[in-house]
Amino acid sequence: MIEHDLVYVVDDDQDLAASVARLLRRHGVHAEPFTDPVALLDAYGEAPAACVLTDVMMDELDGFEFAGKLRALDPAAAILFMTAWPKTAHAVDSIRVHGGVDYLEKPIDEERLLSSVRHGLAWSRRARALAGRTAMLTPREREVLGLLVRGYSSKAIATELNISARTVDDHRAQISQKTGANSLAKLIALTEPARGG
Amino acid sequence: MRGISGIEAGAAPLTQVLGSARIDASTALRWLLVFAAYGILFALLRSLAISWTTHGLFSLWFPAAGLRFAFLWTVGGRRAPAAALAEFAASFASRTVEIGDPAFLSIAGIIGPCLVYGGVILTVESQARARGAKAFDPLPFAIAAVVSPMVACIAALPWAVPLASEAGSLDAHLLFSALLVFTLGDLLGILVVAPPLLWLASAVRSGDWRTFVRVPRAARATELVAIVVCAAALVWLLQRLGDGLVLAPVLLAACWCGLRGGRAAAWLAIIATALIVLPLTSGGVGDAERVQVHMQLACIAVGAYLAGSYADAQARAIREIGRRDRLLFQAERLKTLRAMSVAVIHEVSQPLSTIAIEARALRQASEAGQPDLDDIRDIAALIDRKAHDLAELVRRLRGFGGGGDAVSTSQALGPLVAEVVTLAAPEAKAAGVSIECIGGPQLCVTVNEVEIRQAMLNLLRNAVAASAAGGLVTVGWSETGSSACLSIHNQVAARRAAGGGMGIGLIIARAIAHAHGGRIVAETLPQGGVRCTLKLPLDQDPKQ
Repeated sequence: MIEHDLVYVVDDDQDLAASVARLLRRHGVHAEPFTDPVALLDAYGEAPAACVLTDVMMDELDGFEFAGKLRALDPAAAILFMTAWPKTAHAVDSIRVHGGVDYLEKPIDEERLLSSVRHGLAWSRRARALAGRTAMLTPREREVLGLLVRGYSSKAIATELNISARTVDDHRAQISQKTGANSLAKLIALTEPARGG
Repeated sequence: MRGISGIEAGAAPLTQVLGSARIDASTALRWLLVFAAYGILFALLRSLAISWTTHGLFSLWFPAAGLRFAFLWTVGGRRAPAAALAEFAASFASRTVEIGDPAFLSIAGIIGPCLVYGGVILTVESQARARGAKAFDPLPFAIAAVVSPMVACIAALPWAVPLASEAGSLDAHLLFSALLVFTLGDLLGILVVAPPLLWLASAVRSGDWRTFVRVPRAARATELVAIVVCAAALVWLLQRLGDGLVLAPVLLAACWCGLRGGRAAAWLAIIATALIVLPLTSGGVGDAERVQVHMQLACIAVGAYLAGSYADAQARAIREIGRRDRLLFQAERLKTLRAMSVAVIHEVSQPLSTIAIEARALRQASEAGQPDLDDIRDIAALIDRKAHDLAELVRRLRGFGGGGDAVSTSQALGPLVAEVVTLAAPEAKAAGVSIECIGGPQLCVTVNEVEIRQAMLNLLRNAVAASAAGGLVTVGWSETGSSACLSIHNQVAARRAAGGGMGIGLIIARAIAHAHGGRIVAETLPQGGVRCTLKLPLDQDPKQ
């Protein structure tokens, strides 16, 4: 069972992790502190979170490395970074490369933290909903969907996948039926949770 | 400004004579009194020299020259004209000099030396200033003291030759021996009288009497006294054996005193010699013998005083180098702090973040209608703990970056190393290198705490910088003979280029180790890695 507002706070400074978690809880967010990112990854499968707030500079495991491993475990968890030594390169990488929702500087600005966490929770909720809807598609239907959102016509898809145009149309009908997306715009939204509103 | 002073100088010739452009009446009166007192003292000392008058013209021992030199050195060479006037007036009034014929040559002979002294002092002053040295540095003074009489002797030729040939024919032998007597008399006068007067003047001026009575340590003083006594005994023995008064042993002893004990010891040796020799040569001794003995005495005075000045200048230079070393160490500490600032900011931000969050929570909790006192107590305790951590961090950094003084104290090695490891830890963490302190026996070393911590931190930071991410640096210490050996061992994955530093860290660490009587050995171990060992002499009586 996935808790839809669960936030994990990871920082090797135990007091800070606990403080941030308490802060979030005071604002109605269900948050748990962790000091050991490795242990959290081991246990994550049991209780995945909606949002993970992690320090960048940690003893055991670098925050970015941790984010990569977490992403592999759970593509629908929103990741937020916080750091005591902000660098422009890190800020850009944290969003572009590591798929983070935000990059926060310590000492942490409370309003920004709360708004980012809420944003992360919303993102995660959408990502999970979309993942739920596309989960029913067959592998072939996913392939077709992938090409559709890239602007391929039915004929082009047929040529690309070496199937008949008629079969492609059948797949499209199945996709629309299973996901409820009946236009190209909705199909695109289906694959891009971050931009979906 | 120049124009104004020019006009004033033109309007008031006295002002010009006194050598200062702008002075008011009270200052002028004070200077007038000073110069009058100088003139009277000078005339008194001049009359004292009469019993050493040789060849009827000059004295072989002329203490007035010492007063003149000390006076001009103190008030500045440019006041020489006024001083010459004062000398002339006082001597003339007390009839210690007589104006011969022709009058202008005679007057030139009386005031000439004073002007020459002023010129030499001015030159030495400006030379010393051009080299950035202070005017009262030992060597410039010694050189001026030795050179002034010689220059005065050469400058005396224009009036001495006409005066000597006045009788008709010029007796060159008589003239040159008279000039020799003049030079020796002035030289002895300056070297015996001027140094104590100047020490007195500087002590009065600075109010610090310790510079005036700086006594060498007992062992050193005993050594010097023994040497002078031995030399005197040797002189007495040689005289008893019929070789006459041979002062060469005293010359060597006096130079030794100067080299070992500085100017003060040199001067005492000169005084001791003069006190023995001068009574022997006053009055009924043949001129030739008297000149010969005074020449030896002058050699002793010049040699000893130059040696003493050299020793003092060297001691001063060593002190200055020590002072500059401290400044360099301090600058390097600040540079290290700057280099560590990334890690330090991280260290500060962590507790500060917690404090910021908790303080806000505390405010909100206290503003609530029914405050949860347990909650508030917990939060306050956490804030207190974090603030304490921050204060500790600041204390550590301030202790590291502060200006070190020259005090050495006995320190236990354990806490010292622990402190350094704590300082280096944040940076090591950022580099992904772990530091393990494996400890060692309880040892005490007498060190300058700030500087030795700097040396250790430099070595530790070097080891961290040379390690690859995930590397391990171990720190431990042991007792080897009478030394404490602090070893810092790191694995080097590959030959890494030196990091951003200037590479001055190891040089500074070596200099500090050297200053503590220790050394640093860096070795590449056969099993891999580099080990840096800081060896420091152990305390003889370790405090437990």
